[in-house]
Amino acid sequence: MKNEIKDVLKKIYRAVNGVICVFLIDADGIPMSFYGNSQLPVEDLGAILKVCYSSYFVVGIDLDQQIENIITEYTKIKIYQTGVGEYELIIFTNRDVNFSLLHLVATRSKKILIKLLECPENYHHTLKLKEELKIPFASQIEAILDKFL
Amino acid sequence: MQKEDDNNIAKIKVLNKILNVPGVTRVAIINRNDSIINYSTSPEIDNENLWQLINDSFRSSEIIGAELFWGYLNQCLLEFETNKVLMATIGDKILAVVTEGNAVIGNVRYSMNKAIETLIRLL
Repeated sequence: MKNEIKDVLKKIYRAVNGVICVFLIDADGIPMSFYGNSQLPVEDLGAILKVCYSSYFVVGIDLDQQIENIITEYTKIKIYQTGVGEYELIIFTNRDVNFSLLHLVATRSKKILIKLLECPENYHHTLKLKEELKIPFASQIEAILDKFL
Repeated sequence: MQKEDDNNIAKIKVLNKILNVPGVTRVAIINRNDSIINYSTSPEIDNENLWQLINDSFRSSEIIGAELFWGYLNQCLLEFETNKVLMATIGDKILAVVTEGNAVIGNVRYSMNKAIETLIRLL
């Protein structure tokens, strides 16, 4: 299966001109598969970008929706992040990449990866419920504050 | 005082231009340093929490970019199930736009880029 995942990543790398590297990370940010060139260790990148993804995930909770894609544009590079069940597909590209083409290739590859990894369809929904349980209600916050004030 | 008021009116006019783009529901200029929301033009929805979250998330991406020498964070697009959130840097502030599913992102980005040019002068 690992080779099949790598083939999908390789296809993304070759399909779009300007892709620097493509990798798949798990729920903890640990890389599962990688293709391309990276100056930084992939483990470090995975961990850092997972944190970013989690913070944007909370914005989704506020909007009562699950996050699908994150596109970050820096002056030197662009980063495309998309959730694949509990995993995450990350694509690093040059500044001048054709982003609509990348979006198309990534969406198609995501579907293949979901099948390969046998991801549950409602994964994000359960994750959202878990996150919501962590956030106390306003009444609970007031009750906690009353104990101290 | 009069000059400041004129400046504020001009800013609101610019934000309203973005809000008039089909599909755009909320627009704001967020002050990055102390998380104070400068301006927001939107229907009667409690946006404060959302703007704070957007500010914190954008800031985290920005710090990562600076630490890893990826350059200056220009724009960020979040795609949710139906809504999309677009964020862009204007000096030390953030222009944040929330859209509905029917919004044409290219159109929103165009109006944002136009607005940024004006807002840089005003801010």
